[in-house]
Amino acid sequence: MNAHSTVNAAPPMVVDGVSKSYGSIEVLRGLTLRVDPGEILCIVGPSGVGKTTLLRCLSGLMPPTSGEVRVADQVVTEPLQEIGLVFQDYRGSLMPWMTTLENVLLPLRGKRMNLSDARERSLSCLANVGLAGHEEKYPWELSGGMQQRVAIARALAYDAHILLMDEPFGSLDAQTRFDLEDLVLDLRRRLGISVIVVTHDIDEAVYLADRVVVLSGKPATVIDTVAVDLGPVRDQVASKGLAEFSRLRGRILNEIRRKK
Amino acid sequence: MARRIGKHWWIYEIVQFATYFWLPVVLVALWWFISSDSQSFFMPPLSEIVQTLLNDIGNGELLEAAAFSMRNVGTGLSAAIVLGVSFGLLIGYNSVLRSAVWPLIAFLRAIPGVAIIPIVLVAFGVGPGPQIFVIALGCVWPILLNTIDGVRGIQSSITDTARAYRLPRALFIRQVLLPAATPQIMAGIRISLAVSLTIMVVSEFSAGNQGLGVYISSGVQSFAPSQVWAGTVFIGLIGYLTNVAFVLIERRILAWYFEIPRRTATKITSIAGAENERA
Amino acid sequence: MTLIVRRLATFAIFGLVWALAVHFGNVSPNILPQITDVALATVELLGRDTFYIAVATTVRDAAIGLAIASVLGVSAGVAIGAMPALERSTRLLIDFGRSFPQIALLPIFLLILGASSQMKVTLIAIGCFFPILLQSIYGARKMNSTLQDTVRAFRLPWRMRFFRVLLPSASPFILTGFRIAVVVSILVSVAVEITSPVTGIGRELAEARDFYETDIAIAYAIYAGILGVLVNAAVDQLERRIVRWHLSDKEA
Ligand SMILES: Nc1ncnc2c1ncn2[C@@H]1O[C@H](COP(=O)(O)OP(=O)(O)OP(=O)(O)O)[C@@H](O)[C@H]1O
Ligand SMILES: [Mg+2]
Repeated sequence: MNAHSTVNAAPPMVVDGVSKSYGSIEVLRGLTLRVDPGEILCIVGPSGVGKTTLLRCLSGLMPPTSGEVRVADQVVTEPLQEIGLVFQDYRGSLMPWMTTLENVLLPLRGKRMNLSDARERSLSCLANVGLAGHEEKYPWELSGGMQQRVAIARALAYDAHILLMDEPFGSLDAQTRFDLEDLVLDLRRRLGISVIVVTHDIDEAVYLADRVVVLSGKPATVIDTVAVDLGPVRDQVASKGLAEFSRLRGRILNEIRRKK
Repeated sequence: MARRIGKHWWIYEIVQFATYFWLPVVLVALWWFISSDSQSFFMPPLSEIVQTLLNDIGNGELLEAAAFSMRNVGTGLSAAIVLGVSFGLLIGYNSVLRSAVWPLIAFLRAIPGVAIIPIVLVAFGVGPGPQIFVIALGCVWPILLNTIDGVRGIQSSITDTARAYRLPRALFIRQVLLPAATPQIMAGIRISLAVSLTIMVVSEFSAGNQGLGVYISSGVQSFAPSQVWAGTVFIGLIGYLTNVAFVLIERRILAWYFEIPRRTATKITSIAGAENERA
Repeated sequence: MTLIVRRLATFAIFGLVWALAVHFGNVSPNILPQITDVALATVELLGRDTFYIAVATTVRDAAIGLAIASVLGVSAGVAIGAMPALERSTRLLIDFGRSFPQIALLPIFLLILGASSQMKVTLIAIGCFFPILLQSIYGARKMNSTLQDTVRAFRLPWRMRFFRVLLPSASPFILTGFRIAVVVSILVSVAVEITSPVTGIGRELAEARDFYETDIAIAYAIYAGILGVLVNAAVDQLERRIVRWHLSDKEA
């Protein structure tokens, strides 16, 4: 039944010397990163540093000025089948005229998938994010957290192995944010997808990530890459109480502060 | 409120109802009594007007005229919708095309539809064809401009999503662009509805041998003022009912936009809406 | 630069299609005259006294009708918008009036007032009344509630309330209504002139058409359009000035 039974299906993503300028203003300079299959990578940095810009380059929505992004040795020049996007503004990325199910189905219809297969797959992905029974609702009938779950289900149904999320939980309340963070960890564990999360929230970054990349400066460069050894299973209370957690958190916070 | 009144809630409902209806009822009653012994040739008693109205509805004359007129309005408006929406999607979506044709559109749409009427009617004669043509010509601009605005106003997060999920162009236009622009398109159609009725009336006043306008103007020629009044009242009723029907359809099509829960009886209390759209 | 080229090209293509269609389609000049003839006619009109008289008459009557509609529409609209009970009572009447194709009243007023500019002005005023009325109602209704509370707290007399609070806060909406009404005023004016023997652009157009001077008729239609654009631009200027006044008022 489950469309993602193969673990570790995600291809590696390589960011090779990516720079980006808007006109004469250079925003990103020479970023080099690697996202391993099944890894959760968090990107943190101060507001306006260029996180969204980086994510748009990674997704193929925008070409970098120089350097390249590769997914499984294929250079990303336009949005790829392997990549699913979840935007910061959950109000804007779901089609308000479509029900939950139709929203998840839409990309599959674009792939010319057989409709009954597509339905079945969409329903199973909605169940995967805990939205069984909400298929016929419109976005305005759902809470912000539920809408963001729909966006995640849509990426999963599309068969994305790499999830790109731009401050996905920024506008949600704390409890909902915790639930969705755990959902992301759970999906990674069960489906073997890679996830790249851009966030403002350093706690969130340390809690979710296998590695945290810290961006800073104008133009932005990678000033540190922090490995987080908290294991694949995490707990909102226990993990955040660990000494290691607060050590990492303090380190990242200091780095961002020092650069300012 | 209703709870406080308890088991006499129906009194409250009647009072509510009455607040909407008392003034029109009073005005019609005043008209009735003041005009009842009117000696003025041009202002016949309301009773006489109603008599004519019922008479000509009964013998089919008015209904036939209305059917002719409204068929022209419906056909012309439909043509305008098809043309306006298709070209609007194309022009709104393609920024190169839009910047190129914009001044020409601004120039053409400035020419009032009513000014075209005599030119077309003398060229092509009277009859449904030319009348449908002028109605379509007058109605296409508000729909075209509103569709262009609607497409341009689409949120970038929506177009980004469509690109990220690689929607093929046809699917994108049908499932994303068109629904996203629909609220604005409906606003344009609403303006065009008013335009279509005006053009219908003017074109039938200036030439023609059938239709509501002809019914009225033949009343002028044959010095039958009660026929003029009856026809005018009838056009008013048609205009009102058409607008009510439009609002019902709009609320159905745009249920997602107005966030109307499904399977809920919706009461419309007014057909008014802010006119911030491009007229 | 390329933009200008592109735009000129659109006009050129439009003109070319027209010219070629008339030329090779053997279209009778009664149906569609050659584009060059229309161009000549627009120039020719500028040398005719009747043209200026017609434009002046249309503009004058439109302006008078608009002025009447503005006074009535704004005062009624603000009053209705400020009083919910009045709004409920008049809602059906207003809905009926706004969905009425007002030009259909022409024969009635033709009977009562005859083919006079009085009759034309009346119809223009009726046509312009509804957009102004509706927008004034919204404007007055949308007046923010803190402002309303302040007004109540200070027990301002009604005249002050109307001129100092309601009117200024509703003015952006009223301007929108006025902008719609300006276009309507020219439209109704032309429509009345076309269908009844009163002077103005529409009359000249219809008469040119009756004499099969189609190029002159089209030239008049073009001038009617240009008139609409000019009047719209004038309202733009007015709006900008009022908005600036609004802003400086707030900063002070
Ligand atoms: N389309 C654009 N054109 C020109 N400059 C832009 C554009 N988009 C972003 N910028 C600039 O690039 C810089 C980085 O923007 P970006 O949105 O990537 O930052 P961010 O890290 O995502 O910020 P935030 O945390 O507030 O979301 C900013 O200074 C911004 O003003
Ligand atoms: Mg951002």
